[in-house]
Amino acid sequence: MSLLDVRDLTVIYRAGNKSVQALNRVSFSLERGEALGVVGESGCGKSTLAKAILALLPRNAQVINGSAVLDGAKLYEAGAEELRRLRWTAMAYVTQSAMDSLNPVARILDQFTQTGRAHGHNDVRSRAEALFRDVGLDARWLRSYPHELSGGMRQRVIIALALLFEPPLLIADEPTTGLDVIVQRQVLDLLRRIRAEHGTGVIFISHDIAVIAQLCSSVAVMYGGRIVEKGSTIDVLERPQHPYTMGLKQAFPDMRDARRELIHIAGTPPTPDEPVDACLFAARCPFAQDVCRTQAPPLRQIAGHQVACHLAERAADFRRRAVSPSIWVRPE
Amino acid sequence: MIENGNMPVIEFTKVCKTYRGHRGMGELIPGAKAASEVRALDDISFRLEKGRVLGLVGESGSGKSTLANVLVGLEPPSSGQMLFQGTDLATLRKANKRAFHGQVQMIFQDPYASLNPRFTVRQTVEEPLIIHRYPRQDRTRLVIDALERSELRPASAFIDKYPHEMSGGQRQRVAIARAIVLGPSVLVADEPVSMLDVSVRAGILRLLRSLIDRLGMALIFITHDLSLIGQICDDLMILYRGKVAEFGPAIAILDHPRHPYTQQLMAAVPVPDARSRPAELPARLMNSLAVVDEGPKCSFEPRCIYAVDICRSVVPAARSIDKTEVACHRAQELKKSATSKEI
Amino acid sequence: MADVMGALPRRRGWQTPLFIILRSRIGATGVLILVIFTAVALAAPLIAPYDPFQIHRLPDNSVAQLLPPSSQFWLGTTYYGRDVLSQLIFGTRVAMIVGILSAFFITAIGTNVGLFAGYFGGWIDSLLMRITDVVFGIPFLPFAVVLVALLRPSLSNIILTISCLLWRTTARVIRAQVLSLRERPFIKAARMAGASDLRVMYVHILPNVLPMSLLYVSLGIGWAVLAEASLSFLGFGDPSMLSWGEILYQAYLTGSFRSSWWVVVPPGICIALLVASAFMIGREAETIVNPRLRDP
Repeated sequence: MSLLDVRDLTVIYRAGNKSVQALNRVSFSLERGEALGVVGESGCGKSTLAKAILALLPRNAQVINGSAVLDGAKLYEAGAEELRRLRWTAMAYVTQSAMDSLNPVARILDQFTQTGRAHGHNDVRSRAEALFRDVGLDARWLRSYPHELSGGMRQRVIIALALLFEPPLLIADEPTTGLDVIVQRQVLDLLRRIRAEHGTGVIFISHDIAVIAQLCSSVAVMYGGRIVEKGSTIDVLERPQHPYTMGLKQAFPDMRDARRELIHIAGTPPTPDEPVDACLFAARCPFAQDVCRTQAPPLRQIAGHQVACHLAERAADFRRRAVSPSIWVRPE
Repeated sequence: MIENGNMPVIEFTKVCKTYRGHRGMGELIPGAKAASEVRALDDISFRLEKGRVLGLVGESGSGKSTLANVLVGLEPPSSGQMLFQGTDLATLRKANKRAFHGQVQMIFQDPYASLNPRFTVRQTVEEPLIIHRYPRQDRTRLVIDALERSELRPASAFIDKYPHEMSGGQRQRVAIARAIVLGPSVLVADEPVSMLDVSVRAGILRLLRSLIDRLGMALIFITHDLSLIGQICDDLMILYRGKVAEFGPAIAILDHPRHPYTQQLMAAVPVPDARSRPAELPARLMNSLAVVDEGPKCSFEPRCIYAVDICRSVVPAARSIDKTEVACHRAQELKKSATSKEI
Repeated sequence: MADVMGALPRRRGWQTPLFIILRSRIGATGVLILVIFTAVALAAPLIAPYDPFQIHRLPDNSVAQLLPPSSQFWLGTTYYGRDVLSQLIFGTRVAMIVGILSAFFITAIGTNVGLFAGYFGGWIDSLLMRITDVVFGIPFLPFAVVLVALLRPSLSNIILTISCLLWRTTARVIRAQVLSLRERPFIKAARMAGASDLRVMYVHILPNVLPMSLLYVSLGIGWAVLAEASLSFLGFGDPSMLSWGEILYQAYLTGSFRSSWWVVVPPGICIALLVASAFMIGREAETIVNPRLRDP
């Protein structure tokens, strides 16, 4: 049984009397100890996905379809109390601004104690010290206040806090964005080690495909609330089949070839809107045909991984053409 | 001012900026010493020529934001000389503050926060013109011109919009239009694309490059993301704790970084390659000391794997190695022993 | 995109602040009450049944003293035989004048103090904030009583007193907003374009703190009405002007407080209603300024 099984997850937000679709039939599964990367830009729904799994959606959001099963527990049929119990013990959450969510007037050890008490454990000191060792922090920082630590150190404290109860699932939403390069590397190495040593399953959400390539064995590319490509990271990055993934790859700098001309995809990523029966990338896609504008492409298995594109059979040809920047320039 | 193709637009010589910590009530006691002193910028020297892009890379605490502020006149330097087209900046500012402001402009990181949410695009871009008393009939033409140069075409479609009605990329273009409307000689871009979606970043970078080329400006491109340097930068300056670690042509440094800090920075940048596992960074690099003892030594020494005794007792001066200036005692010696694989 | 307090986008059409206030029941009620009171104040001479100072007499020529509500005098008469309803209606004028003028001055003083203190920082900030602290320390009513007793008890002196004291909260709040706005890149951009300090304060920062200021106008009306009523009730009101507080004062002086509810209750209700309406509007205005307070 997979650690996490998400099927056809669909989430809408209500704004006034309009409802917009943030997630559209998202499905994937995560095994124990596996690291899944979720790649996308603003408005693709990746943060909504994280919150939906953790059942932390805001009041005006609603899961109107689909299911999420964590280690056998059906998350959308669980009551509020069971969800509260599951959070932190079965699934932990680390976000970009988490380092700012530490209580500025409480010592760090106190925050561990408080979290521990909330879940029925009174003495977490030795566990906290062990976790600090794990994340590479000196135990003396336990007695400090958050502002005495740098951003990178605080982020590591957050990760330690998240691992307090050895949750089998860790969801990290842009945990390294905004951190210095060397600190980011440290955090990534840490996550890799944790996965290896504790067997924690990780969902790593980011816009940075380099970071995901370094950490995750499988990846899902999201666009406009849908998963448009999914498979092993090696496969998806080396042989992308969705034009958006091809574009992302070309738009992303690579230190090994620092002078390669980056492309930019004309237009902007769509904001959540009412559901349409069409490919949401068609407006920006250099290869779009009529069918793309009139029918939403289903996610299907082609050549080793899954892709949602009507024209996926011609992926090899598209890949060749995608490398030249001129193809991505569209007349305004 | 005589246009001299080789005269640097900006020349910094040993510029320093020191911040004094709060002294509280001690402020009232004359002669009381500051509780803490931070050398945000220490002996910064460089030159920037017309039509060139200088990349400025540094992590938090490196002083790059301070350097930006000093460059654009938001803060005065504590010491050192800043020449702007041959004239001392301080004198220029005193004499003709407005003219100076018209020559150096800045583009900020957050495209949302850098536009006044209650101003339309027109008001935002027109504001510098109003301040500098351009006549009304010229203003509209200049605003439209600036918007179209920033690839917001047709300008009429954007001119009455509010920031919240536009995407991040569009807002950044408005910010660029505002920055170029006065025809400045120098643009300072502080992380201009780090808050934008990946798929639109290259467009903004290319726009900046083409503006530099077409309008003959100079650009200082500040970032912590090394992987963007190769896109538009001619020269590169690596800052560490307020000092210049390495300075030279961007390609030369990217291909052969000489300063140990630069080497580690580059090694730490993740590459989008799912097959290779990068080598672990050296443990010594992870030494993060809250306070570094000031005093004559190399500030990178506590984290440097090549540190030897001299690094602890003498501040490394910049020395030329090939076309680059490197502030490291052992740079020459390390170069000789470096094989291409080590980097 | 979350709007932080003070960095408010200008919205069009259905989203303008007025409509946001009107959309909620509380806000709409507040506005309605305020509109009614304003209308009453404006139309006072037309709708009041009698001259408020007119002393009515009974057929036997004695003063129509403390008559309970009847068809002739809807809210009865005072100790001196004056029509309570007419007094109430004319009293609305005083309340609105004092309320609106004081609120305006409170906001004007407070906003400018906050602007200067927040923008310049340093010794200007320290000086202005120390002054504000002192003003905070002054208990309103005792000081107002002293001030009004020293000067003549007149409407303008009352407005002056209220304005001099109650700007303090606005100043603190606006200063906090300016402090956070000052660091925003668009302010830096304005300074870099060469804008003078005054220009940055009034052209760039002020429009962004204006929603907050307007909120305090609304609250200011509430405070001022209450303050004036208190002063009048204590006997320091303008004797030539009939305010609600003055009605209560007269009732107290003449000992009719306990016996004649029709002299006491109506002015009390009016004061409560007007102050409440000001706060209701303020509460809704606050959701505009701080969108996180809005119901999703």
